[in-house]
Amino acid sequence: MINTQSMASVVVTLLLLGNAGSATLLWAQTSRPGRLDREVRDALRTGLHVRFHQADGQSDERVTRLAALYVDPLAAPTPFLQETAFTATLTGYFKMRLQGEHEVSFRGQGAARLFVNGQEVMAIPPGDLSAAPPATVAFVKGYNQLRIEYTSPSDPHVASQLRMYWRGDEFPWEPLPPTELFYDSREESLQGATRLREGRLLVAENHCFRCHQEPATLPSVESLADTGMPELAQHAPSLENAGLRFRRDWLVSWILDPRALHNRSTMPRLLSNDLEARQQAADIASYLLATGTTQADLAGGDRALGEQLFEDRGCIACHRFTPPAAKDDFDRVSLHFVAAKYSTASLAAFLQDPRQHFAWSRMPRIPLKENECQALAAFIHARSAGELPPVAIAGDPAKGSELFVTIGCANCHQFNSNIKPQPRIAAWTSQSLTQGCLGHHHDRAPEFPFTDAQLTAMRAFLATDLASFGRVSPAEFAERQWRVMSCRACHGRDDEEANLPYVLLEEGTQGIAPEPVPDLTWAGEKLQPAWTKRLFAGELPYRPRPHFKIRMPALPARGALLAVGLSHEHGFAVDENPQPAFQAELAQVGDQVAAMQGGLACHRCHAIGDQQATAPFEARSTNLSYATERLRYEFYHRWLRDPLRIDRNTKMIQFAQDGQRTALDTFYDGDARKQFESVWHYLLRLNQRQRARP
Amino acid sequence: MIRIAYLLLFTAGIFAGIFAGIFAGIFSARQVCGQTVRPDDPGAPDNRNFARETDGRWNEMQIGPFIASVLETPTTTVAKCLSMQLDDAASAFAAYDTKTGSFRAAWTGAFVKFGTQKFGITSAPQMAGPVFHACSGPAWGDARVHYHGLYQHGHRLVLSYAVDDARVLEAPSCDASASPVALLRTFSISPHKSELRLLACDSVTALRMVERQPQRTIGAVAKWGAQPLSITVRWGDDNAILPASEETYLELRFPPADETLTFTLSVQPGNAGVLPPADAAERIRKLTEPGEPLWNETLRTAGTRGEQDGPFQIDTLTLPFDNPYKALLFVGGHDFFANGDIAVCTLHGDVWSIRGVDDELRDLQWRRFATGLHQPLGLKIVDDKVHVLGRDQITRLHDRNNDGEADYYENVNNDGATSTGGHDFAACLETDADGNFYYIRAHEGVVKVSADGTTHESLAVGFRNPIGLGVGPDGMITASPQEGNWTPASAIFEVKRGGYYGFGGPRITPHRPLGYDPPICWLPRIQDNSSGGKVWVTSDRWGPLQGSLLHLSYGQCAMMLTTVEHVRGVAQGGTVRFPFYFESGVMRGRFSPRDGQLYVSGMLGWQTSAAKDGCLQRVRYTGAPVHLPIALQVRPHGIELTFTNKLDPDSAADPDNYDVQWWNYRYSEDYGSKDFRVSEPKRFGRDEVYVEEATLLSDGRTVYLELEDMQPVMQMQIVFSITAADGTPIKHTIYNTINAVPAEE
Repeated sequence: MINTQSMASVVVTLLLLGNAGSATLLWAQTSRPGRLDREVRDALRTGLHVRFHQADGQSDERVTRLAALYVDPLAAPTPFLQETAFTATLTGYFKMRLQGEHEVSFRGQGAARLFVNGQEVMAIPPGDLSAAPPATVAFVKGYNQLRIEYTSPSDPHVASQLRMYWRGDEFPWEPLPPTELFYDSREESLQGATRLREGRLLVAENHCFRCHQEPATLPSVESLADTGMPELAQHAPSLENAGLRFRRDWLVSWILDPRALHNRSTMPRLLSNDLEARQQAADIASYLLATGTTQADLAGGDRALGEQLFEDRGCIACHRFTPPAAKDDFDRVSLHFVAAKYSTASLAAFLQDPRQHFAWSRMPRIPLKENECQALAAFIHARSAGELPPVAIAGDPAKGSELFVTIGCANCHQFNSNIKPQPRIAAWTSQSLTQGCLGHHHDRAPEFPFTDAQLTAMRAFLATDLASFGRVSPAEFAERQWRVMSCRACHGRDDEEANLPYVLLEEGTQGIAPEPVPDLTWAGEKLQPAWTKRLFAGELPYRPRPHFKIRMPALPARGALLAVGLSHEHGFAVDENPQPAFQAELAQVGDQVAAMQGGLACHRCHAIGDQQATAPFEARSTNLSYATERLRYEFYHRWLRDPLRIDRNTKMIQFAQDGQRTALDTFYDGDARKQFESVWHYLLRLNQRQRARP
Repeated sequence: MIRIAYLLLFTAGIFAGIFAGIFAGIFSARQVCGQTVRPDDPGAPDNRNFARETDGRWNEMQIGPFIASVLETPTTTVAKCLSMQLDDAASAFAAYDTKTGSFRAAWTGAFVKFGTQKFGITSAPQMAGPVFHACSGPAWGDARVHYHGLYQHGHRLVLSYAVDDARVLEAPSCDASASPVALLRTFSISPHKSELRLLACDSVTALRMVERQPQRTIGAVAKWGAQPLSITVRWGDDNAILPASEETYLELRFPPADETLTFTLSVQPGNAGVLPPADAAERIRKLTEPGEPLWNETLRTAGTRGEQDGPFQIDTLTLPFDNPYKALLFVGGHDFFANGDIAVCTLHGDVWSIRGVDDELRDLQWRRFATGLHQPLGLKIVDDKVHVLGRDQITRLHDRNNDGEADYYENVNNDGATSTGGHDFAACLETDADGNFYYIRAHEGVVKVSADGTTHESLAVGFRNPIGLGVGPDGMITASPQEGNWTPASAIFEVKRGGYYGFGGPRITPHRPLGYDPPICWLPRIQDNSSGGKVWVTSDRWGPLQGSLLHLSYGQCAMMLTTVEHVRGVAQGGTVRFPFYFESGVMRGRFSPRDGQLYVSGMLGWQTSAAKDGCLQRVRYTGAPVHLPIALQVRPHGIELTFTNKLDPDSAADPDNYDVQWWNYRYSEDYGSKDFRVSEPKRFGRDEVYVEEATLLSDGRTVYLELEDMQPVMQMQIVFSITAADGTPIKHTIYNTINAVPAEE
């Protein structure tokens, strides 16, 4: 056992009298390990800093939320490295609430060394990391320096995998909680690597290759889109049937200055704002709108219902009605000009399928009934107060058609298959990185709403060989989606609380929803990727929590890789879910353990198939018939043993109060693990039968 | 003299609606009663045994000859209803409103059917047979009615009331030899000074008086729905009864009398009518005497003694779950007789007596002492008589012939309103030093009933779904609500007269700026998701903990020591868990007069980690050293924690052995509350509180934690892992509340 406390000096002071309280002061102790200067503490962020190195001297860095890694066989550990062996050094702090001894261990493949507070605790030779015996570590209270040196397997056909676990007197083996892992965000090299990733994403998402040729060293973007960075596959929204969807005044204003109407638009300004530009915008608008006439406003639409749905379905978490330029604590998308853009009919149609014209839209498709779409459209229209100046000048569709090509619209947007976009211009050079789109003087180049930091990031990335476009890291992709798709609007994770409760508190009319949207801190460990793929694809034939008013949107364009990435982020292979084979006898016992009579009464809060929970009160939860296709086996056990340790807001009952035994002593003498195991087999049987149903 | 008057009370249209409802009610009741149970066919793709996913065991239980409940009759919903079988063979049944002394319905077939969801406790039972007669009006007009109680004689009952100055006894029965079976109601009315009126029948149409023989017999026929109905009254004294009737009702008037009047009233479907027997006086006399016991069997169980580590052993008084009556044993309360015997009440209506409660618990003898009570959740023994709290009343149980079964169920007080809602439980019967009773329920709050049962007072309100309170030896009342809307977390309140504890929305006054009176402490869900009752340690056998307040967690089957201090007149404190758990959701605790040990009881019912229907367990303190914090005092710049025993100085004075966090809750109509930072009141989360220093004070068992920025907070969490002077590890978490920080001295 390594006592890391010994590194700190301890000063014991004998005091005679004090004002501490009613009794006389006897002992006091000062000077403690685990403390960090305020400057350091302020710079800490949750996660660990990972430095990757390869034999050819290449290196990369990033942040990982957990003490975990997973890289598929023959894959590169990061997009900026080769598909070869690597070492990864995870550093940071593990924060402890109290000093004390705990055991630590690893799972995965490769070699690992663990250092806590500068002292080596474990050194595991290459191979199966779980084969190494656990080590006991005396953690200090506060911040314990953590350093994990990991070496990938020498066999490239073996996945590189690392997961660090710990356990204590009161809890069994579990991954180190990401809420207690911290890294120093001031590390310049890490900031540089983060900048590269930011630039890489910006180049991909802003469709730079629509106008620019790839460097000669890079394959075509079309070919990379299938195997490389997924965002390269993004297309700008199709303008098909624009005439049926958009109002003319709005379209003219949009062409002139998209950011003025939509605070998160990535569309560049292509025209200036002078009189000639307005005429050109009117021409383009006339051209686009010649395809039809905007649908008329709906006759009905229940605004009151719409207002309720705006909260219930969670729209309020991502949208606001204040002008685009107005400050918003939650960085939501302004709907100020939606009424200027859409009729209620076209808005309702958009809500029915937001991705009809833009598969990669950040606006997710939320399952809504037709009347709900109409009600929402009516409400949003009524609240959308943005007015645009009427465009008095007539547009010339013929000129618009020409302009659509010449100013570059056709390079990004689909509209008419007969249109041929402008030829792409030459790839950028190191000299051109401060010019054109990336310069401060745009001349004839599109004017993107890039910040200085974004420009710096793009320039840094474009100075690389761009080979990273050809590689995909599911874990990094998943992490990007957390931000890009505003998952936090509804979900909490690690130390980040979901926005939705805040928004509802401040702006809602109905208070915080009683049903908490699941926290995603453990999502990658908890959920089976095969299930999350179906969830994200919108292919689940049921809603996991049908009692929730809010709806989990489908993310079909991103879902498959996101599901993989979530799993990898937690150090799990996609299909990793070891568990014992189904045993019918255990299922029989589990049926009784879970039963209402003489059991743990799981059905009290959980539905089974189409049978509703019998007495859920305010704790209605997921359907047991789907549990085993949704949850990983080991997580199921971890959850059953101590749900409040995983989610302190859960209403799930902790049946094993001491972690060992339940109050149900009629099965396995109250042994909680055995009882929960039997229930797992019962759940497997429920799932088999649910799947067999027509 | 017989005077007949006809009064028109209802229109025929209303009656049509009522009777449509009657039959619709009966049929819908059957549909509700019938469960959609899938066959358990192992070969089928879906063979889940949903029969086990509901719980209809109450329907299999021998509930006894009567049951108190809410009951929906064809004409009205009766909040304080007493349903009974009318003869030994259960040929027919009747329901009475005990609050008004009014007959409500009579039916044949089967007795009552209980719901199968939530153990049947949140839905009223239903009459399980065709109703042939029902009334809805008050039986005694404008007279003051007070229900005294019921006499039980075997399967037969006599109801006892005061009606103005008269004592009225009514023995409901039936004539099963008649066809169809007839309802018989035999009355005895004591001498009285003012005229009394008894509504013999209402909710009928086309009522008309008819001739009946012999003398002193009157008759009437009417229609109940489409069915003819005959009403016959027979008495023994001239001019004692004056019928008054209209098309829709028949009323009997009793002029002032100097002698006891007895009579019997029969009601029978059809036009013929049954002549009531002439032995009314004898019937009443006989039936008010105790009869033969119904539950003769003494059930024996062997308890178990705990063998766990530590100073507290958990012994189990094994409940006779497997009993010949199929009686359910969801234990709602318990108390001790002077000799150390125990009485327990169960949620499904019973009271059991237990003998043989000695150290070894090897031979526990159970007798079913009483049945048919209305979901009792509180029991107190006063003067060696069992007092039971039901949703309808406090009942004092008398065993007049000492045969081990109650034969007179005396109503101590039934002034509390019984709502017809499913979640209106009256819970936790306690007394103070003067013998006054206390209990708690959602809509009345903490209720005080005088020792003689004559007064009923709601002391304080604002508790969400409470199921427990405690009355200390000095009269301090503590009570707990359950987390939910307008209750951001479960909590322990010191109850003051006129207090308001939040459930229902803010009631802001100059003296109540929060809109509610603050609790002693809030309880985060991890500590207690559903609170039970409290018990003060009054036993000197519990040396180091004597005088402490114990809090029982229903939801987590756990017990907590609660510290209480008063700063500027406001109570505040915290809870720390004992390291053991019980077999069911514990709600009640009592110290035994025999062994000085704590006995706790509990049950299933709502959200809980419990798996057993009920439990009765003993927490036996062995006298071994206890290492618990027993006092928490807020100081201007920190917290003082006092432990039961001396601490290891090095360990106690190491601030790294303590972790302190704090947060607030948001009082709102939302269900419960998230944690809100104290440092950023609008942000979710908790703040870490820096422990500047830990200091062991001169008594060797008090630690002073100097904390930065002491201030009132709704929730503080103090985790520590230290060592006692004898080397015993002490690892606990305290959840406390700071309502006030004392000023510098």
